[in-house]
Amino acid sequence: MPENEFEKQVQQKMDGFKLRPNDAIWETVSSKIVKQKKRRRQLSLTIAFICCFLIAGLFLSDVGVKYYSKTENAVNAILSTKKNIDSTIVKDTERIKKQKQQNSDGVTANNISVNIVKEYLIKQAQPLQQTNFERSQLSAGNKNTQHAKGKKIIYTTESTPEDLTNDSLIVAEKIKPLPYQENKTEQLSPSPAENTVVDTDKNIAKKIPDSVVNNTDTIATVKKQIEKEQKTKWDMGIVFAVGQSSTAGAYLGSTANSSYYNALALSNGSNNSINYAPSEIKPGVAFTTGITASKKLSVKINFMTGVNYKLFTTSIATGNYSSLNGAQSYSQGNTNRYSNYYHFVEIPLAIQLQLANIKKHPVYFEGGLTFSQLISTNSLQYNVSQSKYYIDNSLFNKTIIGLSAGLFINLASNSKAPLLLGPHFYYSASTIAGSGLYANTHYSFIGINIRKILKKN
Amino acid sequence: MDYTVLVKDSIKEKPTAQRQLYDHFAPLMLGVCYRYTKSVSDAEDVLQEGFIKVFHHLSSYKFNGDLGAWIRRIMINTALNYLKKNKRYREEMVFTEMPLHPVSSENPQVLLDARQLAELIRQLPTGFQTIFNLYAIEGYTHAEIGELLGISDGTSKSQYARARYLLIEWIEKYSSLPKTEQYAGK
Repeated sequence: MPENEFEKQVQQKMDGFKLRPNDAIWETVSSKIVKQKKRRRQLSLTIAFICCFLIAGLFLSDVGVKYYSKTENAVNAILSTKKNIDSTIVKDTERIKKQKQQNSDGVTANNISVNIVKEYLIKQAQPLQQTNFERSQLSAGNKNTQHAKGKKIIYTTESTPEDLTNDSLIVAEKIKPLPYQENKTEQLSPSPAENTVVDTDKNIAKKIPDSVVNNTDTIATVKKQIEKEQKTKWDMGIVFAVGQSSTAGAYLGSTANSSYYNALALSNGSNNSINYAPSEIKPGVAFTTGITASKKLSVKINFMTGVNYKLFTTSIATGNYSSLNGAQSYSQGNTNRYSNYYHFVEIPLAIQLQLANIKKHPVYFEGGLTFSQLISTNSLQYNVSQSKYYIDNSLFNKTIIGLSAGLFINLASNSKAPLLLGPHFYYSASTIAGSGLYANTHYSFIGINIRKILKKN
Repeated sequence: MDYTVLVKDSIKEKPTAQRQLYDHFAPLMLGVCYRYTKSVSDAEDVLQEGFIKVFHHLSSYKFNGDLGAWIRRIMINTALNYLKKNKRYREEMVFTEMPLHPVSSENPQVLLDARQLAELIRQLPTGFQTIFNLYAIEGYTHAEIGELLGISDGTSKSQYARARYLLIEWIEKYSSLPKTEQYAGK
């Protein structure tokens, strides 16, 4: 006998060695597979949402830092301009004094001082202009004050926080004309109504710095007031979403209930478990409509809320309808398709972040929580021992907390009534029911969300 | 048999496919688990745990090898983990290097059926039983066994020699018994 013949014999005999396992093993295996799958799904969703909120957090902190540094730079630029104006006017006043003493050609000190201020303002504005064309306009305006002055020379800030991106450049561009600009320059001295400059050096020195000082000092205050107003105002709108809803997590690959009922069938001693299992619940059409309100939290962040009506539908294959002693039921089978309707009122709470700006169309990510209240449903439950479908709303959880996420593109960003459009996803963190056919299953929705802001503040 | 469709459907978590896959392999795998344990309930525990792993990792199956062998490897690893975790088995799995045992008959004719042989293997002390299963039936080398169990090649060899000696002795003794006595008590 060759070497290792013993091992070969043992191997051959053991290769075909089979034992019949207990039926209960499969029940445990199948239920544990379902649990693992749910755990995996919940874990992946949790991770996805945590990632989204972490990214949002990082984004928020980054935006915050940039915003405040830009605001600070802009204010510093304004204050520095004010200092320059102050010092220049003091110098100019001295020059006027000297010129007044030597003046014999009829030019008033007032006109001189106004021209000096004009020159100064144009000089100040020149480096802040964006194009050579604008510079040439200003140069021309230096000779012909009617042309450029007042248009883009000195302003009080009306800038929104978004505008504070190019520091002093934009600050200078968005400043309101001062009283001595435009044609008023020529009318400055003779207009008593405006309490304009009188023919003394003291008043000239006093009048111009005061107006400048008043304007520059109020810049920060005005800006803050505007920001505050924008922050406290709500933009109202209407929302409509349409898509596909599922109660068994079809998008996430659930067949949990079939496994559960198959296991039940096995424990009943059946060899053909399929006869005992209910039909597969198929996704249906869903829509949401309601009013939405958004509030600006910062440059790129909005807070969204509202009140919506939501309808989810699913369908299930059933047999014939019967009404025995008033008890309505459907037998198991495939002859009919029954539509399950779920009516909800919901309050969404979401944060909207601007991610990008594609060809002047801002793109937003929106994520948040949705609190839904189940108003009514005609959804069928399943009785495994009788193989019958019946209605029992008491099994459903009435209050559902869900997670929602979406991407939106603003199709009318320049309009006062922006239109936002994009894909939207919803998954209920709460289970549909504690027991029965929908035990441990969740609502989910995927579709298109359209949001029309009625009037943007 | 081509299991591709069955595996793909099982990966998609279709209960019918999963059930079919289980029904096809469970008896054979219970036979494997039975050889590594001392009781049927322990073997079923291993089988259950093993199949949960099989379905959990089914998506990592590459379709280029024998599915039965892949599931078998999972079962063996699960059985070894079970032995290590279970106090009763762990206490018996003390491997000490011993001199190679003299072998009375090197390659005797095995006239027992599979069930009888499996019962004799299960009578071996757990350490011997494990090493015998891994070397003689699964075809692992002593180096691989050493790695799996955390022992040296030499220990595996000496343990195997001792297990082989005992088993051959028992087979010869058992085979010489009249048929009625062989099945007595079963």
